Amino acid sequence: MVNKLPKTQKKYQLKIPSQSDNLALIRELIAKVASQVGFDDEEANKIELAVDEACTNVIKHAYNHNSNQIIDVLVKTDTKKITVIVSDKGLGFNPDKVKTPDLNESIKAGKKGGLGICLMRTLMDKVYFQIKPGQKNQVTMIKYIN
Amino acid sequence: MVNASGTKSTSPIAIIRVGGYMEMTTSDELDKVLDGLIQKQSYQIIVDLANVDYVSSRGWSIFLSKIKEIRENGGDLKLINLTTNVYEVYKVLEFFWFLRVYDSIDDAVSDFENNVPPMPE
Repeated sequence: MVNKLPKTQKKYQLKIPSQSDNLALIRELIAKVASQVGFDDEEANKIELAVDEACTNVIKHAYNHNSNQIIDVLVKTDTKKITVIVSDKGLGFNPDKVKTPDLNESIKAGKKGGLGICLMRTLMDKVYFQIKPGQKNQVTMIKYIN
Repeated sequence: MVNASGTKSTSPIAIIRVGGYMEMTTSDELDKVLDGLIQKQSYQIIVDLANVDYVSSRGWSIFLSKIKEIRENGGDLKLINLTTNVYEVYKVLEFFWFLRVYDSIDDAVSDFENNVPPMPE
């Protein structure tokens, strides 16, 4: 529920080495900003998880665990929504080819992975990708305040 | 943080207690602990998520990837004490088709002891 609304748009940015140890810091930023905007704990946690998934994808797939690379997390808020843009300059992928995983098939194959983008799309109201491999890959996630 | 222990010294049931936010690093720890139990042919496994704030996709994927082998060997993997946030994602991902959740360790142990099948038949 809405309990605090910012009077103007606000912007926060975190540029941080691409390593899993930094995920906690990113989640902390998201939790604080989401709370300030007026998301309740449950909704803030969903946003945290979606951003964690996006950043994990960057660490694992875009940068292949190279911690010398940088993840750029930009958070924008206004009275109606929070927008989180996660950018990298690593390997890209074709988001159109990422389908909702068939969990039965994953079990049969003993397969790990494939749930991250599915979770992001489910937890946020809008998720879209702009992929330019090696130049700039971006995932933009938006959540509206109910 | 991931810890594994038994319910009693004589019990074949293994309890894994996970704490914090189950993201990439913690999930990989869980993966290793589960592999260790499977290697020791310990197939009756309870994962206590009471102190887990959130389970990321990596964590859920690890559960999925182990179920087949565990069940083929007559065991099961049961989740207990899910927090509201974790239960929310459990529902979102529709894991209720594959994994049973319990409110207490006693309920999960009881199902093992009474040979309740892993999922409804």
